[in-house]
Amino acid sequence: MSSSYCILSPAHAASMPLDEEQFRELKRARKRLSSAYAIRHKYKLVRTNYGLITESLKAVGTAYLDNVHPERLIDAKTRLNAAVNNYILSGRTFTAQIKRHVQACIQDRLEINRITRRMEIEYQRSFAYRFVDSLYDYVSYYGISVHEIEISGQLVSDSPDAARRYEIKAYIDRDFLGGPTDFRASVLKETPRSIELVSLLDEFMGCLDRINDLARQITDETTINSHVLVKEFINVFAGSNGVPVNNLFVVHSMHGDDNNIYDKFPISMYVDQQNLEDEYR
Amino acid sequence: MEITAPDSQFCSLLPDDFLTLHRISFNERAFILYRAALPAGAPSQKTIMVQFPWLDITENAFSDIDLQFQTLINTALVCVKELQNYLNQHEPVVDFCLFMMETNPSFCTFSISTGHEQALFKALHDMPCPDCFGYPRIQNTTITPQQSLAAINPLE
Repeated sequence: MSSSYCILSPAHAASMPLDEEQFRELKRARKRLSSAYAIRHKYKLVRTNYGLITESLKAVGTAYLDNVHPERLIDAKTRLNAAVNNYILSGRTFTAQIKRHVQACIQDRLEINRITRRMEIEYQRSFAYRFVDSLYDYVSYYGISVHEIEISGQLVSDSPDAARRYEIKAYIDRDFLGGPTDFRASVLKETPRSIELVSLLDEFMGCLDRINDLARQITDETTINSHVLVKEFINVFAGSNGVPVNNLFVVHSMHGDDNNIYDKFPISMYVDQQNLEDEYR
Repeated sequence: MEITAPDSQFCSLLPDDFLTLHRISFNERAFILYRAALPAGAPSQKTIMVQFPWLDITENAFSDIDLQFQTLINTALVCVKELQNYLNQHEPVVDFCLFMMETNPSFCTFSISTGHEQALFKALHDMPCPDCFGYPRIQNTTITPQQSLAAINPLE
C-alpha cells in the first residue's frame, strides 16, 4: 500500500508534494493550532452568550414596562431563557473540554496538571462555579433556568421631569430546583433560597477568565511555533505555485489516486486572514 | 441591571413619590406600588387594609397570564387615584396616607395609615364599590406602615 502526501489548492488545481515526515509535522501543527483556537472560540462563545443574557434581560424589563406591544413580552421571556440555557451549556462545553485542548497542544504532564489543579481550585473556592456546573444537568433536563424576575422602579431624585429609573434582576429559586435527587446534593445544600443571575454569572466568568488565562499561558509557545511552521510551508507553496493561498489543504492519498483520500485537513484557515489574537484577547 | 423606561401607559399612570416592584415567577405575579417616604406621623399610625377581589377574571380569559396581569395593573393604578380622590372628598378632616397598593391576579389590596381608624373605616364602608372589584374585605390591623413596608422583601 503506497501513500502520497501533498499540499493542495483545490480552487487552482495546484499542489506541492510532501514527504511523510513533513506531513506528520503539519498534522501535529494543525492539531495544536485547532486546539488552541478551540479554546479561544469556546471562551468567546461563553462571553458572547453572557452579552446575549444582559440584552435579553433588558428586553424583558422593557416589555413589562411597555404593554403596548404584548407580543414582545412573550418573545423576550423566551429569548432570556434561551440565552441563559445557551450560556450554561457553553460554560460546560468550555470546562469539559479545555483540558483535552491543552493536552493536544503540549505533552508536559506537569503543565497539564496545572490546568486540572486550577479547575479544582475554582470548584473548591467558588460557589458560582460549583452551582453553574451543577445547573448544567438541571438545564439539560428541564430546559429552563430562570425562575423569578423582579423589576423595581424609583423616581430619579435630581430629574426635573420626574423620570424613573428601573432595575431588573433575574433569580434562580432553590425551591424550584427540586430536591437532592434532582440537583447535585452537595451543592443544593449550600444554595441560598434565591440566587441573583447576573451576580452569579459575573463570578462564574471570573473563574473562567482565570482558567482561560492559564490555558493560554501554557499553550502560547507551542501555538506560535505551530503557526510559524504552517506559515513556512504555505510560503513555500505560494513561492512554487504563484497562486493565492487562502484555501489550502494537506492531503494524504493512497496509491497515487487523488480520489482515494485517506486523510485531509485545512491549514491556511489557521494562519491567514485571522483576527483571532485581537478578537479573542 | 438598569433599564431605560419606555414611554408607556403604565409609566404615565405612576403617581409621584411612589416606588414600584414587579414580581414575576412561575407561581406568583405581583405588582407593588409603595411610598418612597412616609409623611410625618404616619410611622406611629395603624394600617387599614382594603382587599378587593378582581371581578370577571377567569383563567381562560387571556392566553397569557402576564398580558392579563398587565391589564389588571393598569386598572389598579387608576383605582389608586380614585380611592385617594374619594377619601379626600369625603373625609377631608381625617388624616390618612394611602402608602401601598399590591395587586396579584386574584386580589388588589390597598394599605392606608391613619390616626383615626374608626372614621376612616366608616368612610371606606360607605364608599361605592368600583365596578372592576367584588365586595371588599376591610381590615383594621395593628400593623404600622413601617412594618408593612419592611415586609416588601426583595429576594436578595
